[in-house]
Amino acid sequence: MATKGGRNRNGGDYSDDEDDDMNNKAQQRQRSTSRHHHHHHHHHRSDRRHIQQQNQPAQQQQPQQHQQQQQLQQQQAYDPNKRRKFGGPDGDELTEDKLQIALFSLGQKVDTALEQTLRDLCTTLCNDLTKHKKVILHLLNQCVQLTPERVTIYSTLIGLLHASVITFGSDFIDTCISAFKEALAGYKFETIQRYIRFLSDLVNVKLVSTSSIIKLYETLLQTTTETNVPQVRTDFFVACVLISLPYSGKILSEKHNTELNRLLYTIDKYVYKRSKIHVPILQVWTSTEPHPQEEYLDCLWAQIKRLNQDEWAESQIFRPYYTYADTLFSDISASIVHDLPTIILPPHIDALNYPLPKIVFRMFDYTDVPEQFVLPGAHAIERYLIEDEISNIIHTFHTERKDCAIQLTQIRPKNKIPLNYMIIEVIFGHLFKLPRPQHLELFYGSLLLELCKLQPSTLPPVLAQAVHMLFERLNTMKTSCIERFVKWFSYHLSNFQFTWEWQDWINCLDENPESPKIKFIRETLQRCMRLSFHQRVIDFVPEQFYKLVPNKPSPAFKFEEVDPPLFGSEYAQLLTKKLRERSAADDILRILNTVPNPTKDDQALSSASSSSVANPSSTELTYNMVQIDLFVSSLLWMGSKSFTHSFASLAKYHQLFKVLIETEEQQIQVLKSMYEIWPNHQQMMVVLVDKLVKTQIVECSAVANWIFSSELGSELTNFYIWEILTSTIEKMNRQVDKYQTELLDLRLQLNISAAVQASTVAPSNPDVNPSNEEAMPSIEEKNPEENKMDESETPAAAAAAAVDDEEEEEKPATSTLKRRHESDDDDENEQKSTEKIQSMQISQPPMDEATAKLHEKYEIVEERLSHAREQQKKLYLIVFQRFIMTLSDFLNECESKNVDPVSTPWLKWIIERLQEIFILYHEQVFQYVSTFESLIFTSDIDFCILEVFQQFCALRA
Amino acid sequence: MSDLTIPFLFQKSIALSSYRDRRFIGSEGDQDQKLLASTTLYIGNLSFFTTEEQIHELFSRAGDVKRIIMGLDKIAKTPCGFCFVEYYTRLDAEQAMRYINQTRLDDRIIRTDWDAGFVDGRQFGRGRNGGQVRDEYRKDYDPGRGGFSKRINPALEMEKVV
Repeated sequence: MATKGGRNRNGGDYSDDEDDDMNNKAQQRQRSTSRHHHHHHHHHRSDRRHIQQQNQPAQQQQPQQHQQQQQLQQQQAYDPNKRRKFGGPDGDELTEDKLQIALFSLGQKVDTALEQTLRDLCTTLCNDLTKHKKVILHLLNQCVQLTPERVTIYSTLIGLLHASVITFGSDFIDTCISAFKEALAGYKFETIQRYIRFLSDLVNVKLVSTSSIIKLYETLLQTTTETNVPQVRTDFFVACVLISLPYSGKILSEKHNTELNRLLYTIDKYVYKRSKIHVPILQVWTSTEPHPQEEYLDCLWAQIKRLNQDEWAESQIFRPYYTYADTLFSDISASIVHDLPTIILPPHIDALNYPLPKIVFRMFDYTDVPEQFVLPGAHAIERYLIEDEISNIIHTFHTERKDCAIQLTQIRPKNKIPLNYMIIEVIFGHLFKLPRPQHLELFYGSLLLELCKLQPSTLPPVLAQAVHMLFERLNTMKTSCIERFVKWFSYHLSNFQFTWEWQDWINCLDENPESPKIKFIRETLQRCMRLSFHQRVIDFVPEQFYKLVPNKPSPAFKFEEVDPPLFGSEYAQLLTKKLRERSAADDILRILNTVPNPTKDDQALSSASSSSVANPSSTELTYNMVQIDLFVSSLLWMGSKSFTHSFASLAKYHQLFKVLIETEEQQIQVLKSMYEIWPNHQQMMVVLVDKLVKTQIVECSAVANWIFSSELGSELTNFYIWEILTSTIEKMNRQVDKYQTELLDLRLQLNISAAVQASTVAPSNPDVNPSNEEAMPSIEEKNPEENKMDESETPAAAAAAAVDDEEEEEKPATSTLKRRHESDDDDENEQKSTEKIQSMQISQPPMDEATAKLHEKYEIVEERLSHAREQQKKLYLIVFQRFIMTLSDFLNECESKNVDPVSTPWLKWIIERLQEIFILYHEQVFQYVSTFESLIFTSDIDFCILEVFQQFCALRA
Repeated sequence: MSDLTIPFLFQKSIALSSYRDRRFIGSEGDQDQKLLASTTLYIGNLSFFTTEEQIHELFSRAGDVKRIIMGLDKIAKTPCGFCFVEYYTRLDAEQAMRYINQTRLDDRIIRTDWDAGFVDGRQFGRGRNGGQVRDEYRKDYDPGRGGFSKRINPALEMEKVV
């Protein structure tokens, strides 16, 4: 950090040449990527399988492996090794890859060529249909599931195929319905919704009968009559009908007007009787000015009612099927309209997480856009349809930010609709979505960068306008959203040389320092500093903003700075000297043991007499706060040069920490000492607490208690405090998840081993692999050496650790090598092949011994899980209790001072953090909700606190 | 990450680049296998002044960072414009590849690439002057990377090329 002052920066590194250079390289890389692709593909695939096989069959249930599995499934379906060639003879063969590319790219660019492309693709597919029906049907279904923004293009293609090949329609419906039923059975809500909308659109190409769509809607709406089910369940199925009606409404109203009206009446009744207690906790702003933030079902229903009044006329849905009227709709067309089979909805299960209700985010209206544009009103169906298209594209392409940006800019809105405003509005809506955004916050930031690059003259002004509007509305913006706004804005600025019209915000600088606008600027500058450096911030803000610029993030060593010196300074001097010499833990402890206890002299004497690391507990001493403070302060001071230095110090003396720190009080002292060294370096504190928890020097509950301690009282409204708390809670949650996954894994293995034992005489091994366990960071690992490995202090130690890792991985690698070849030959049934190979491993111990080991392991993990869950519950209990105490104290103080608490920014910052914790971790908190209700959220606490709890409970009601 | 994502075939940003570490011990197949399972990224085109803290701030936005190893000049032992970032999970490393590659840190467009995993010694520049090789072949004046190339006489080098 010291080197920063010497930075010599001039215009040179801002030159655009660099961009060009990088672009060229990127292009080269892209070329080489595609060149390598086949190769890559194969390896990737086998690699995934490798991971999976280590985990054995249990991986089906493991959420964090879901992604891997998804990729594996996708790749399995397109195994390059068994890829059949099809299509015409030599040269022009059609492979599955090519077909997938052709189908998946269909309509990515909507232009005049699309009409012909669709016809050509239809011809190609027709030619191959008899030979490769299964593959084609599968790929079409995949497109329907994965690219909802192009649903009408696929229905057109399917309609054309239906009109050309007599059997295609029924074959397709069969595959489609079985996939749909599978999604229903698995409660795959997103997929279910996409299928219902797609099936609805198939009435437009005369593939599905209108009467059976009506019947499907009736089935869905039957959920409104179910009793004892949560509102979120009914909401979901009602929403399925509502999102489909823009596609099917017109034709249904022509053919089944009575039935349709009956359906609409049912929806109307349902929408009006719904409870809306959950709404405030999900709103981005606490005020409805200037725009009401409607509940999504209310808004959608208002839009559909309007569409109904307009006789289902809308202009936004791209409907390419009308282009082929002569093929699709002629009277002589021989194609048959199909009825859908009866669909039965899956029953309600209590443990199920239905999609949470949402709020429709709106920040612009027609007055905000330039005159040549017309922004559709809040209840116009066009507003919904474009928002939906933007959302779908974001969702489909979220893994490829550049493609995502290109696809968004290719939307062709009708009627002078200002696309950029709508894109920005939808992106901010996603970013601010409560409880959490669907994708990584960083993704939305990088997407906005790409959009700015693609449309350098038109998009940035809209974005700047949006920032100003959001800034003006900060007073009522939810704290979680302000935090995301800060994180995004600082990141965005860091990609544009921190250029901003700061002058525009100069007149708010006299506000209360705790006010949202000041807090926003302060926190933004803090984050800008974290992305750059202190002087850089000083350089880019006007002088008037200096008071909001964070302090230089330097350490403060209290034992060195005060005169007269603090108690213990001479020990600190000795300690720092020893630490600099990298003395052994014993030596450090010996010095610490000579430190007298300023409060209890007797104990000091006894501790002085004990001077061996080997038997620290022999004299029942617990180390006093002065000793801990001296040690932690000196250690962090010596390691203050960088993160790596600090981490290395912690790792080197990890054992000593373990000896010194036992009680929670002592753990809190570690955190207090850290805070005293680094009050000006928030990021350092964030990463240090993270390390202290990960290495089990400090427990999660100690962090929670420290955060609400009086020492941090003035910091409580600062964002980094909550960064620390949420990251601590998340580590706790991850811990529980990890044991849960392990347990599930073991349970499946036990079932399988029982099955194998019953069915085969050949020895077999369910194969518990030790190596796949530590993929997730562990805060609970019993072996401190392993933790140290994570926290390697020197490159050499790191290298040693890396070698260890490799060695551990080697074993399963060799044993799975065999399996991989085996299963490549037999791709049909993974399960079967795995079992087969297991039975081939003859050098394994006898069955019962292995099973006994599994049982033993199961019990250990079960024990760990129950312990972890206890701790998790305790952690939430502490957090909520401390919230209530802190808030109650504040309310009492306000009462005694005759101040209206609602008028203070403080109440906003804290009560909204309480809301945040509730909704961010609703899945965990709900498990213990009855305990919390009976123990802490009782009727005697202030209503403004209790209200938050009630809103939270309503989320899943 | 949603369970509904575009087919793997279309996920370009996490595919391997053409770069391979020529000092990797093992076959190219081994290396590829390692790269495809790796949780470690190589980060290039950093300014010499960019600190571990800044790197952490940006990369922790993609996921939980396990460690950062700063690339050092072999001789001067000062940062020389690259580093390794290791994540706990593959998914987090993929997110960094997807969303950080080709964006700015410290006003420079940085490059991320898969790395087969840190081995001691890799933290040092491999150029003859102690820094990175690329800084010996560069012709521009780059204040973030020590000004002109460290070759004895850049003008002479230019002549050779011409």
